[in-house]
Amino acid sequence: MSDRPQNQLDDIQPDSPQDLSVSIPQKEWVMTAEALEELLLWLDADREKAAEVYEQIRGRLIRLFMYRGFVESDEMADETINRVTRKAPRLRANYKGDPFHYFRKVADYICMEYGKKKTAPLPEVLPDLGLEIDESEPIHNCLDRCINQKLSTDEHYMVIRYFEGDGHEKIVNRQKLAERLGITLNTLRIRIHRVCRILRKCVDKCVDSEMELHLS
Amino acid sequence: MPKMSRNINDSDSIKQYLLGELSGDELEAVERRMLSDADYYEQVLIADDELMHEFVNNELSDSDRAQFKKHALSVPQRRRGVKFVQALDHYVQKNAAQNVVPMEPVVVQPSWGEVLVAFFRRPAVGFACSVALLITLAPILWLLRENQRLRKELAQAPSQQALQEELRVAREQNRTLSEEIGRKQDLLAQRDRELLQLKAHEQGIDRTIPPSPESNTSLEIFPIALGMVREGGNGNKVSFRPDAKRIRLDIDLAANDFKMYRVALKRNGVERSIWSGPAEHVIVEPAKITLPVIVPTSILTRAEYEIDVRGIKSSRESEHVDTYYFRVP
Repeated sequence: MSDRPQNQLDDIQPDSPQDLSVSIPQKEWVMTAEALEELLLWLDADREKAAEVYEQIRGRLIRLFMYRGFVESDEMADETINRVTRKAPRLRANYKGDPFHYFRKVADYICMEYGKKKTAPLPEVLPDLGLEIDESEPIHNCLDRCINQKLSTDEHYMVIRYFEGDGHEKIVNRQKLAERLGITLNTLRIRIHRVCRILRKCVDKCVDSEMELHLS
Repeated sequence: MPKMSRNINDSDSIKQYLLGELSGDELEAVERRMLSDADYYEQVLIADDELMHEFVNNELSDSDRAQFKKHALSVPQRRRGVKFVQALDHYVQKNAAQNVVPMEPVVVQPSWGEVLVAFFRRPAVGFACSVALLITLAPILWLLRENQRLRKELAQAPSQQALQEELRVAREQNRTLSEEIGRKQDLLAQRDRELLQLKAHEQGIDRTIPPSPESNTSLEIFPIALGMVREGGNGNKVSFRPDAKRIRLDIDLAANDFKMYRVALKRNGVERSIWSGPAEHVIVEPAKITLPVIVPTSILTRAEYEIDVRGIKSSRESEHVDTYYFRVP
């Protein structure tokens, strides 16, 4: 961490794995309500805003670990938060920097601990081109259902038009769609992404339910 | 080979990050921004979706494709993402081919404000609104003007108390003027009597100025009706005592149109009057109006007489009222 600012952190360093293993075993520490309260107060004086920030940090930490190639991204995110929470009282008193920076630093240490463990090898069959779609798979029924439930007629039309075609045709379709809606391509891109995120959430939930039913 | 520093804002940097090709300072910069900046975080998520679409549609370069497989597909959550994109892609192709897409243009629901603005921008609506405004404003402006005018008049108009005072003063003046007129008329009557006396004295006739009405109580009174024929029949007959110095002739008036009257006495159709005098004290009764005239008996002989009654106007002009007849048998 050669770029560590001089006026930050000082002796309030994110715990190195070695320190933690000697001083306080991580697995023995349990998040309490008081501890969580201390963390929230450090994040923001407004309790409600602090809770929002907490959720944002957790979600982004999960993504961070995912993009680093880690499988246990949820677990690692929670561990990062736990470690920061343990230091919250001291951070509240002395830390003057960006909390997100501190979280990231702790996430670095977590990554070192977990040692870039990609738990499973690549599956034998990957979603790839050329493979025929098996419509019997739950994901297709779930997608149909979720589109009907979650999307309006206009949103449905927008999604179809946005992803329709190949290559240059797709680009032209998107430009025409943006003109029709009276918005820029970037705005269209953002709208489509948000619609797809809603669909994705619905589909994941649906697929998980189907799998549970199937297993039971 | 160390990576050259790059602007983390560009899409290539984000793509390289998602492919696991960043490290060191660049990696830290992207991750710090992703954690702290909501908009940047969303850009990363969008880029991740697009990367998956490009992978599914075989739009990645060979090296990127290989890197994606190695880095992204090693994570189960990202594999699920790719499965989702594949299913969505399949859905789009199926529905586009089946032409189930609505053909009408997409309507972006405008806000209420935009709807109102668009409505009022229509020429017909604008014209109608202008006409309605004119129709509404015209009477309002007229009312305002009238209100202002009436307020001004009211402010200028005297108060009720002032009006009553004015009326009282006017009545007082009227009463004073009436009294003055009465005095003047009395004075005129007095002058007429004096003139008559002078004339009578010149003519050698002892004419007695008719006394004031207050001394009429001992006089013989003879009613003189209108319309009695001049000769014979049952005409007005005046037969008085031999010792009577004066008699009173009560002339029956049809109407009392004058404040003062003057009577002239003529004998036997002779144009020249033998006597004249004022008469002003009209006696008004419910069914009768009487003009009493005091006549000296010294001028009355056995003959037919004519009484010419004239009303005196305020301008001193006289107007013929009626002619009455009587005889002294």
